[in-house]
Amino acid sequence: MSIKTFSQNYAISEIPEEIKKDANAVVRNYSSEYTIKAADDMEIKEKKVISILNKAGEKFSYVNISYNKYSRISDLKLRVLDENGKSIKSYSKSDLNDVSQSDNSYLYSDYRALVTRIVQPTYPYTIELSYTTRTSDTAFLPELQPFYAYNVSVEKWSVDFKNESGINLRKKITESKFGKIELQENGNELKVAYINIPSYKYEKYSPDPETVFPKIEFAMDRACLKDKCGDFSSWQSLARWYNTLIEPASAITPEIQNEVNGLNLKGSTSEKVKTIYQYMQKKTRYVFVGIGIGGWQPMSADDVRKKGYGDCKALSNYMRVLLKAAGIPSYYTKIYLDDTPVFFDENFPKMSGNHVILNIPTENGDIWLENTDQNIAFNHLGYATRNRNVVLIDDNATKVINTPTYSAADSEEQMSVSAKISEDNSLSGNFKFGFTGGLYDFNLNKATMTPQEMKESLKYDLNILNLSSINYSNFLNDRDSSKLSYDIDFKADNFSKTLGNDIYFRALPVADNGFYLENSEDRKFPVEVAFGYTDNYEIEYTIPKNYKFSEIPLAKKIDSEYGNYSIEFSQENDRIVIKRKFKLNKGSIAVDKIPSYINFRKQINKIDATKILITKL
Amino acid sequence: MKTKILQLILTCIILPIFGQYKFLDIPKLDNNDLKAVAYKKNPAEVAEILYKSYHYYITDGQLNLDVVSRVKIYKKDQAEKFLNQEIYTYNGKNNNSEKVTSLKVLTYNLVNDKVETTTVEKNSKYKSKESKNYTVTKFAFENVKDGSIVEYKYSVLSPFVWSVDKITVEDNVPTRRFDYVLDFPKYLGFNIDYKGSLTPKNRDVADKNIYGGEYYTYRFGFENIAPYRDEKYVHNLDNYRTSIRAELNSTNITRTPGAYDYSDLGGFKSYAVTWTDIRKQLYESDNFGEQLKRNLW
Repeated sequence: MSIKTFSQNYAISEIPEEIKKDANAVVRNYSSEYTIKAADDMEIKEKKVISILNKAGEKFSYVNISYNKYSRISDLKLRVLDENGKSIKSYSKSDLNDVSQSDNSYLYSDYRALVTRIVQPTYPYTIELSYTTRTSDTAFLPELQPFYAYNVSVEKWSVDFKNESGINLRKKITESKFGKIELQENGNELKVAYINIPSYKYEKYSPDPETVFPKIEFAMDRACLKDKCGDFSSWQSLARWYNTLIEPASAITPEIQNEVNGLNLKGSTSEKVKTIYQYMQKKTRYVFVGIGIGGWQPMSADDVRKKGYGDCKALSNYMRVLLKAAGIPSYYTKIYLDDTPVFFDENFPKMSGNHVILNIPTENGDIWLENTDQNIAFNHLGYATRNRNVVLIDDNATKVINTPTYSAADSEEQMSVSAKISEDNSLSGNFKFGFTGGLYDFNLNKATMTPQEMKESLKYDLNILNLSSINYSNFLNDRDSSKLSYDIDFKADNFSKTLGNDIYFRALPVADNGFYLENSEDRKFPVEVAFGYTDNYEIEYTIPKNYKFSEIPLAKKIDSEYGNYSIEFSQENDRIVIKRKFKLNKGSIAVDKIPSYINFRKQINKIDATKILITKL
Repeated sequence: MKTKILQLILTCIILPIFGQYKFLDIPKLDNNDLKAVAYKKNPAEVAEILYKSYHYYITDGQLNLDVVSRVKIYKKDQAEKFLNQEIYTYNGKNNNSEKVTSLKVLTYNLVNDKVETTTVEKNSKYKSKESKNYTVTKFAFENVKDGSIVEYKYSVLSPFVWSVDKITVEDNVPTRRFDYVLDFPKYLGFNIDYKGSLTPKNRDVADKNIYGGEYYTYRFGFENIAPYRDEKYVHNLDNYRTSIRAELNSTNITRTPGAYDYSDLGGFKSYAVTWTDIRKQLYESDNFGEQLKRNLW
């Protein structure tokens, strides 16, 4: 293996057969050689050789080298090699486009990138890129994980360190069956690599690859970020460094004190926090500006007060300062916002996290505040910030603690339907919907919709019905109890089917939750149920006067480790009431258990498809 | 193209001009507008454009543009489009660049029946070089509440007199007043490509003696424009919006010859573009011809 790399032969024929399967591209050699000269001086020699095997792999032919004011790119070489590894084209730095990296979600960021797209009319070909970066930022060291993308295999991916700084360099290895690390340590040199990692196909309902692949992380005990250096050897010392960024932005100005005084705070701590929180929500909006340390340092609280906008750091810190002005202590809290929970390691402090929230300890438990959403309920964390740990930043009492876990019962969809079946096969009536927990989050975007958008969105939600008219009313985003509810009046055509003297119709007027998965021998990843929920449905149908029920379906119940399901039917005169309850548990389902999980979901889908038959008298 | 100009002039004669409409006359800030909590005709509207104007004028061989926008925000959380703004400008070769000048960004709020003005300071207006050819000036309105009126004004000075942007008239919220003015000296010829279904209520197409010279002026004023919203299966709404695009078609600049001066004295030049011209332009373009030459493909 190493001989091949030395000879730099990137002919396609050199790719080991076992990693060619399902691969549209192969990472031939991705190496980063770090030379740490001092806490604020680091040189990185990057080399990235990737072979594009077919058209589907073309999306990996983009070259994107990001840099900023604190880093410099030099010795850039970019070549395209043909199938035999022979150079056919070469580019220089000036052939790349120098573009700003601030996208639409930013107002401004000083990150830039050198980019180009390699276009080659025939496959396969290989792109060989190498460059050197010199930077004064050492707070973020690489995290090596041998997953490049789906359908891309890895021949060799390595990171080498040469630590000349004398500062302790820590490493943390997370093992997994998806790759074995090769590690060599020698004095102040450290070499790690993953070799011959096959390509993986995307699998439905699989977790974020970042959480299943092995990885190695690095951190230094002393590091710098945008010329600000600190002791990163413990969470406490890291937090102290972090606090030097937050504190200058946290002055209680007379204007802020006036704002708080003007709120006439009364009642318990929780009531006071709520008043301030809802005041802050109403006043602000989310705008991201990142200049220099601004990606980590919040804009000053008084500037947020004046401007009425900020990013997660600025808004959270403004909220913290408002609370401080009211005499209520709170913690600036670092967290990973992600659908699949990502955790901090209590024993491996390093700069990390991608979001900021607030934690307020009170006599009646913790209050958690998400400060970037103008409509979200008080003390409610969205599903992407629950069930994980966070770092509370404090000069003396920094700790890693957990955010609330919401059980399947906490995330509930309540739906009650009262509808009339007509002889012309139409269905008319009303829905009452209520959502809590994670389902509240999924529906919260409805709070900012115009009536027209809301109608479109409801039509989409209920697209199993052939709607000829729909109107909604009583829309309520209850920001005290995290419950969102609304009512719908509707008429749908072709709901039931006529068969001679009979009419039959679906017991459930709405779609099942769309679960569809076939058993596969090949399955590599577990199935992830990212969050559990409960559906609580009550449906009442009234049938036409001159009809009677032919047969009432039997009640059914399924209990399993994955969840619980029950459906009941009760009939009285011209009415039938259907009660359906479905609880799906959160969890990760191992590959060998997937068939039984599929079976559980299929059984439910089948019962949900139950039809009810009525006959003309 | 000539017939199009003729059509415009003809329709001008047919359409009566009401009274003395003053183009580019920025209305006074009305306290009633600040007080309003919802758009009367449709309380669901998130914002209302109270006034918007584009004034293009060519003086001293430069293209000037003055933009004014004043928008009433009814629902701040749904009107983000109006709260964070970007101005794209082109950077050409040899320092031939468009420049944004006198950018003023104001938020008006009514506090205790008094108008409170919040200005975006210079250090909160960001200039970002997006790529070799484009710079973006960005800003976010400050202190915006439900009910605020947000206003910006800026000018762009451009050496590219032939490049007058296409301006679309309707927005996805109602517009109370919209003015478009193009003034150009008579030695230049422009085609006005007017598309769409909206007829200007006020129109003034004439020759005028302004900026110390003979000018043509095209002025279109619109009032109470209904919102134009996206509908299903419309790929590009802009193709259906009313739009005005001015295109340089000719110049007629003549020099007075000096003694023994045999060089080009100018005269009428047509810029009507042929496919041959387009081919030439493409081959000279950085993004096409230059790349072909470098044999990067």
